[in-house]
Amino acid sequence: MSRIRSLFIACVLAGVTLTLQASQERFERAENRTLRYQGGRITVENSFGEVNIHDGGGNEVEVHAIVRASSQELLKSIHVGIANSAAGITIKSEYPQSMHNASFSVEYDIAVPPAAPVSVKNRFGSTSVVGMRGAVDVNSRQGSVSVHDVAGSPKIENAFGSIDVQDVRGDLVVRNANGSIEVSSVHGAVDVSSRFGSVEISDIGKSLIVRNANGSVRVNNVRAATTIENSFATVQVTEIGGPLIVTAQNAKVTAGGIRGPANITTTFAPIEVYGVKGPAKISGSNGNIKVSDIAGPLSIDNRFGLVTATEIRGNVDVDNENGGVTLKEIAGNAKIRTSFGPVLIKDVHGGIDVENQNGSIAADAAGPCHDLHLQTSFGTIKAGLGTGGYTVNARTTFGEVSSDLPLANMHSTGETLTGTLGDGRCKADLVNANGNITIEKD
Amino acid sequence: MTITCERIDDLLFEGDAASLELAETHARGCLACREKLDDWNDISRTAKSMQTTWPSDTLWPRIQRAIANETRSRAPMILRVAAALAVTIGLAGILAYALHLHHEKQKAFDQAILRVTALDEVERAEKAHLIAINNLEKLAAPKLEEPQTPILVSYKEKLMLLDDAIAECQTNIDHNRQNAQVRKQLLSMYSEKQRTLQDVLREGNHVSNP
Repeated sequence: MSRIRSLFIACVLAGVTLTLQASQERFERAENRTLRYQGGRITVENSFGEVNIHDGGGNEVEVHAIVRASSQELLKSIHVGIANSAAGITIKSEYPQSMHNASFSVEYDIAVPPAAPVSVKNRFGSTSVVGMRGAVDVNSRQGSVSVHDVAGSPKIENAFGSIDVQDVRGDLVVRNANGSIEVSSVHGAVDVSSRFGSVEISDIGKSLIVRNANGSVRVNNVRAATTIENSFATVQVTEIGGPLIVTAQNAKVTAGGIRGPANITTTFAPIEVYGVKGPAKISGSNGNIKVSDIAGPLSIDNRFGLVTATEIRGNVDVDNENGGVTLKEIAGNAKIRTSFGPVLIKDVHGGIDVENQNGSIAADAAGPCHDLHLQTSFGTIKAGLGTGGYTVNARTTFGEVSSDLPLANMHSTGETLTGTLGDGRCKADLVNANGNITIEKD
Repeated sequence: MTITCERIDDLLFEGDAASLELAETHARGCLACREKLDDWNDISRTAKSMQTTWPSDTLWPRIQRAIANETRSRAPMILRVAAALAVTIGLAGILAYALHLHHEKQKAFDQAILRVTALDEVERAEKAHLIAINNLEKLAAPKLEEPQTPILVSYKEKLMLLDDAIAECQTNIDHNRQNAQVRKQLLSMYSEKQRTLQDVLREGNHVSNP
């Protein structure tokens, strides 16, 4: 029996010895303070280490700090400075000015009265603020920032680290340089800017402004006006309750479910827009543009890319260069200027005005007649005329004009054709150079 | 009164003066009982000479109680071993829990302040990044000196931003060499700079991606 007892005691002693030996180089001190909050701002300044601030529920500020250092002397020289007055409480990590070959950190967990305004300044360490009802101001350099469940209007600044914000009942301002930004559930207006990081935003109660570059932008469900700037990364926008403005460069843009007008610009990348309840103005270059289900007038300006528009319930004005244009199911007028690409128009219920260069035109007018003007060079023209009457005037320089429809008062020379279809109340001017013109039934 | 030899033992056992007197009377005429009675008297004298007095009247009762308790506590061996094992396991559990808490504390410390071995690894990784960055910078320099496209301008801006962040980390490392967050940030910045330089080299001329 005594042998078992001796063996056990020996094991315990060995374990304790090993543990103590392992902890010899770890120097740590906990500082716990409880302060009576007299009003004013609670300011926390730290340089190296986490800062976690949360709702303490009462009228006291409870500070739990853990100071860690690589030597006992250094540990003793690091202080948690606290100043408490009616103007507020300042909690600050104080380090010796001259240190060499030293290593240290100070970690804070601070419970504060929920209504107290809070300012946090941190450099190397994550910062978290949860459950505050007053103003929140976070200034970080190189650490992640997380702000959740805040009733005020937080201002968050970071340089190199992620920012995560959720459940804010006021407005929100976020500034970052090189780090991702995630924002969700903000009742007020949101203003976000970054330079090199992705931005993801959802469920915003008021207006939204995003200025980014070199990082993707994804926005969903904003109830008011939304303005987005980006470059060299994609922009994806869905469910916007107000007007949408996207200004991008070298960035693919996708936008859908826009209840106000949409104004979208990009370069060197495609644009896809669908479901706009107001007018849409789209400008691109060196990329295809695809638009569908637009309630208002549509204006498209493009270079070096295809344009496709369907289900447009207003007028359409397309100015393209070096790219084909396809329009289908257009309730209003269609005006197209392009070059070096074919133009295909189908089911247009308003007037049609197309000027192309070096590209064919195929246009089917739908419903009652509207004036039709199709002009190109170096390509064919096919005009499908709908119900109603047209006064036809078709001419080409090097080609042939023919009609599948019987025209009254028809006069044809091979390269020209005039005549009347029905009551002739609408004009059909078809002009070509170096290509045939064909008139057929819609 | 006349007695027989069979009664002599009873008389000696009773031991009172009348019984002993009667036994003496009988022994005068009986040689066998004489010898028995003489032995008895010798033993009685010796016993009387050995008798002593207790220093306290309560000492002997205390000794008796202690002997009784000792006797009661002597449970079977298997129960004693089981009890010892239970105590050992309990103490070992407490020790293990204490060691676990201590280990967690050490882990938290190591996450804030790097151990020397971890620092060595980090510094090795930093050196590898630096070698790669130096090589890449030489290759990318012609493109970045006078960037010809907007994306190269953007990359140049990003590299300047990263250089600022790296300088900030290095300044702080001079004062806080093993701080895990600073070292992690520096490593992350080196890694991102390396990636950005690789992107610069891949970026011949930016073309659209329709």
